[in-house]
Amino acid sequence: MHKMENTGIGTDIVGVQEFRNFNDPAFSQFLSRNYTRAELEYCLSKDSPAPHLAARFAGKEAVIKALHSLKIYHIFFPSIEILNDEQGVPYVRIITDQTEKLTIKLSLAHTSEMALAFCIIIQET
Amino acid sequence: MTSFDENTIRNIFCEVLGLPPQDITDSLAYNSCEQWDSLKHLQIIAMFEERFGIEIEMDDIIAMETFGRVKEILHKYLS
Repeated sequence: MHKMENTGIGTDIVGVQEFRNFNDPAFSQFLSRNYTRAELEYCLSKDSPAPHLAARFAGKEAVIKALHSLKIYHIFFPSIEILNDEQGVPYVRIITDQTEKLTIKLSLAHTSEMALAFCIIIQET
Repeated sequence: MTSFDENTIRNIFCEVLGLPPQDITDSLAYNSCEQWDSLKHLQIIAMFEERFGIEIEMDDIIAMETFGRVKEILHKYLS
């Protein structure tokens, strides 16, 4: 049975409008710094990339907040990869040398204006 | 690598946050400036890296909580 102290939660909401200038050189630098190649390939393959970029940003923030609630501070944006399985369900891969055993569940949603994410992490002891 | 230039740092803040130069003081803080959210913070970092040709470590990104602290940390990379 999992204890509450081993459970982290995080949530975030961002405006989609901020991501509509994804072709701007300065914004491209931000994207390549904080998104993985696979994430960018997925988002930029969409007719409208901005909501997908925004949802992933919210997802990374939600994961970081959930990690912080477990006192895990060394994982940052570029180390968090959010992709989708065959059913479109998002899954999270943490790219790190350290060996925390984490079960991460993430839910993303967006409208044309806002994107939000909710994350639950269970840390195995 | 480009040398330290406070005007370039201030101009990046103005550009990303949409604030006039006179609002960018050393006490301008992440947790009290409405425009300075996590997305804008990472955009500012990306612009520093691109303009100055540096790569800023995660601990320093998190420590950049005021404009004054940003300048102190960038000094370390650009001196």
